[in-house]
Amino acid sequence: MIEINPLVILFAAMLTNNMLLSNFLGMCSFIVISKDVPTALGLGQAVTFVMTCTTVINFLLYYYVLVPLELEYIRYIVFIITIAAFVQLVEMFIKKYFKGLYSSLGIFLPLITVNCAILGASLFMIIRQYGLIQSLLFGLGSGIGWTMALVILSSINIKLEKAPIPKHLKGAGMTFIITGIMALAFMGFSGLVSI
Amino acid sequence: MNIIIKTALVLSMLTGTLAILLTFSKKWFGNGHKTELTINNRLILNVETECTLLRVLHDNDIQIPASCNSKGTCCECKVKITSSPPPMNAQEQGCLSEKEINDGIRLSCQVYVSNPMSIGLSEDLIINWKPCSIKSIENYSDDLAEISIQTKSTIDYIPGAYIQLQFIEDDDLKEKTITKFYIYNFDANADVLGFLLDIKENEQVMEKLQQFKNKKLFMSDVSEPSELADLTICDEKSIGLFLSLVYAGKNTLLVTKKTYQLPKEIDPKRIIVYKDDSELAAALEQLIKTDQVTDSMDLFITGQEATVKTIRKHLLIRKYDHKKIHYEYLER
Repeated sequence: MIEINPLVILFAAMLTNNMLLSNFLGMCSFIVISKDVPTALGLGQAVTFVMTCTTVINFLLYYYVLVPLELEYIRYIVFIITIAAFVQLVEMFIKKYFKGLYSSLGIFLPLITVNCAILGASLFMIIRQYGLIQSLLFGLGSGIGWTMALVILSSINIKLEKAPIPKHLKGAGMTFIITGIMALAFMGFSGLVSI
Repeated sequence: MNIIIKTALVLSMLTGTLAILLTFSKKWFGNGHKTELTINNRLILNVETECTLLRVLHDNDIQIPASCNSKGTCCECKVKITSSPPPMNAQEQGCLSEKEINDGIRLSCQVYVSNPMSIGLSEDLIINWKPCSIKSIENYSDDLAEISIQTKSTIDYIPGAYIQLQFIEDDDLKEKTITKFYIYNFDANADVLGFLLDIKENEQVMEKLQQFKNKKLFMSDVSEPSELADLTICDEKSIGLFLSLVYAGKNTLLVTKKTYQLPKEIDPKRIIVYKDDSELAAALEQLIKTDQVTDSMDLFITGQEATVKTIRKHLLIRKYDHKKIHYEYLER
């Protein structure tokens, strides 16, 4: 296991190594859901929750089941199955207790399953050889970072609605440009922490 | 070999565990409580909360058209939500026009029934059709026929109420006609209901009734009296309604081009016989002068389109409040 303070990993995952802005993972729902802040916040929370829990579950599965049995090569299948089942759970939960959020997220809630950021978090944790606490905070940090980027983007998008943008740039095009600028801005954090 | 068995074991154990977990949590989260869904302010359904509105309606035999299997792409399952409409998702925004959104129209396949909700549907969709048969068709007088319908259950009947009959011509083609009849009971039996029809005015309907004399037809529930008007104006088409209201002691008028042989106890003042529009106008003028028709009354005019239009037009010229004049065309 690598020796880094878990809190450093938390902040790095949120700011300097933001999953969305430094690796551009999880772009699909990022572009579509970034239209109003409450929905963005809802999806962000769901993603954060799923990411934190799945990194921990996947950590345990990987180091306590797959490695002893020398089955590392099926980690992709195992990770995806875990994530899919977990997303189903979260979906049921949101459907029961947050009806408004459920209907505004629509198809993107079950699609968290194929949100690359979530699989990415599990895989990075293996590649970077994090321990359990480090993985937990890495998942949490990545989720918060993703939520942060999504909420910032949706607030910017609300302002952009009234801005004089060239017609053909409206929508996804403008979102990409804004994401790029945001990524540049987040590079400003790079001296703070690094992993 | 060893590794294959290990892989299979690990994967099946993992999926098995997760499947069991999901099944149990579905039981835990899935069984939502029930809530009330009110349709057209009168039909109240007790429904599960975790279903979409479309699913709930289909389960209750209300066949809203839909063809995309709840994906929100066919835009057919539009339903007007009269309680506070829920927020929309992307599919609905794509389907609905701004006017529809403001009117509270949503795609029922995207709306989840959570809190008590009330919706408005076209009446055709929520009729509970029950089998019935024609008991007899007899002549009431030279012009009028009395038709008795044998129903399967006891009928509570209020003067001014109507039923709808559905004639299914061809089961396969689903070709059907729906006709509205005002009830005029002349049989003491509570499971028989009858109506009076002018034979000449309703030739097509009479033909259909003869044709279905020994066949099964379907009737709707008995409606509430369609309008609680202070004065109901009927014509040849709705003479059954006129008679039922007269016997119930309600204020009603019959406007007719021909003279019927009606029971003597009916006040002749209630019957206006006219030859053409100008005579009808003069008669109406007379009614207004003698305060039989005043502008504080809620009026309900029912009958042929031409007659209803003439009466309504005349009243509007006389500056009657159009909100107080309710009307209906019995046949176009």
